[in-house]
Amino acid sequence: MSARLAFVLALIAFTSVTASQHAIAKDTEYLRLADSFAALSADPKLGTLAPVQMDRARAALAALKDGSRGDRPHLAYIAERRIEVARFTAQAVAAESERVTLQQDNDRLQLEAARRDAAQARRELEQQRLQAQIRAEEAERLAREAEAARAENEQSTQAAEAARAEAAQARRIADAQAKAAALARKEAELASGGPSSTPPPKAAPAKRRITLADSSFAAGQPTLSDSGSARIGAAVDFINAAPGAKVRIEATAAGDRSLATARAQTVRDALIGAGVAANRIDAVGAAGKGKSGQVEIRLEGAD
Amino acid sequence: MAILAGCGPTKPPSDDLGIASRNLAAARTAGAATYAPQELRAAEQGLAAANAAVAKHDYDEATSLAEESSVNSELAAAKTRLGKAREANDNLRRQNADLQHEAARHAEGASP
Repeated sequence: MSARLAFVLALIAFTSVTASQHAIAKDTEYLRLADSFAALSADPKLGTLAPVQMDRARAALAALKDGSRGDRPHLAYIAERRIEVARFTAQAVAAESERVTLQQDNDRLQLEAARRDAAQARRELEQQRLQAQIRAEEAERLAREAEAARAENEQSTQAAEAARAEAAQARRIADAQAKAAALARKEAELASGGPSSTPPPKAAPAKRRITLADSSFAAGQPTLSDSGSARIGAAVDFINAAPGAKVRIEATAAGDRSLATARAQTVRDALIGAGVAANRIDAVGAAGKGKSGQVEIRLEGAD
Repeated sequence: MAILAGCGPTKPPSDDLGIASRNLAAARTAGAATYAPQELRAAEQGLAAANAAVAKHDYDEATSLAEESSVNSELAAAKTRLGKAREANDNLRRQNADLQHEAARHAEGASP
């Protein structure tokens, strides 16, 4: 037999006064729990979140209200806990709902953080790339400078070689010119000898005269033949070689004095035409002896 | 006494005991030992008392105790569910606050 049964039996044994006191106590307990349930049910946030648990709490309250006196402590115990179960469940549902929002925020923030990290990583990578590029450019610059220095060195060597080659060429040209000049001199000397005169090449420095034979002129005429014009060219070189000397032209023409004078004049004009100063020249003609004539150009005075 | 005793059930409340037992197991599995130890202990003691009442053939008492054990297990489970949800929310709030702080710090650093 349970303690509660004994309690019920004891209650029956007691007077109606104590019974009414118990009725007040019973109502007080029920009213407290009913208020608690009503407050939870009216809660704007929690009231509707645990409908199943609320139904069971409501049923437990109804059982308490209708319960026999003997079951009251048990029914009150159950009703109180059913209301608590409904409250905790509603709070848990609200928290779980909030958790969805918090998780969405978390996902968003994590994504932002990941993007930041990625951007940071990209920046660092870019910076490293730039630094590497700077290093590479610096290395390339140094290499270019080294190459330029080497090339310059080579170029100066080449320039020196070119200068040497040029100098050698210039020497060769000078040699050739000297040779040509020597040959020209020799030719002039040979030419100045003429067919009848003795050709003394060794006596060239002392040479003071050049002769134009009768064949240097057209027959019986004062005009120069082709060979005569060539002789005039040689005579000019010979005259120019002694710039300080006077030039005397003496012509003879087989007893024809006027022809001799005309030929002397022709030679004078030719020399002046070739650039010999007129005041250096003195020309005379004479009849002369023999069959043919000649014209002699002679240098007189300082050379 | 005989009349009153005869009003009670004549066989063990196996359904109520079974429900109480399953509810207790569920509360334990959920983690009530951590989040609602007091309620879990009350449920355990209630189920033990119910079984003891069965042993004494006090089936009426056993039924009430089994029901009380059940409701305590349900309470333990509900409290555990709430405790877990709040714990998870607190963790998320902390994480989010840290992340927001970091974002603000970064924004400051990015554009001083």
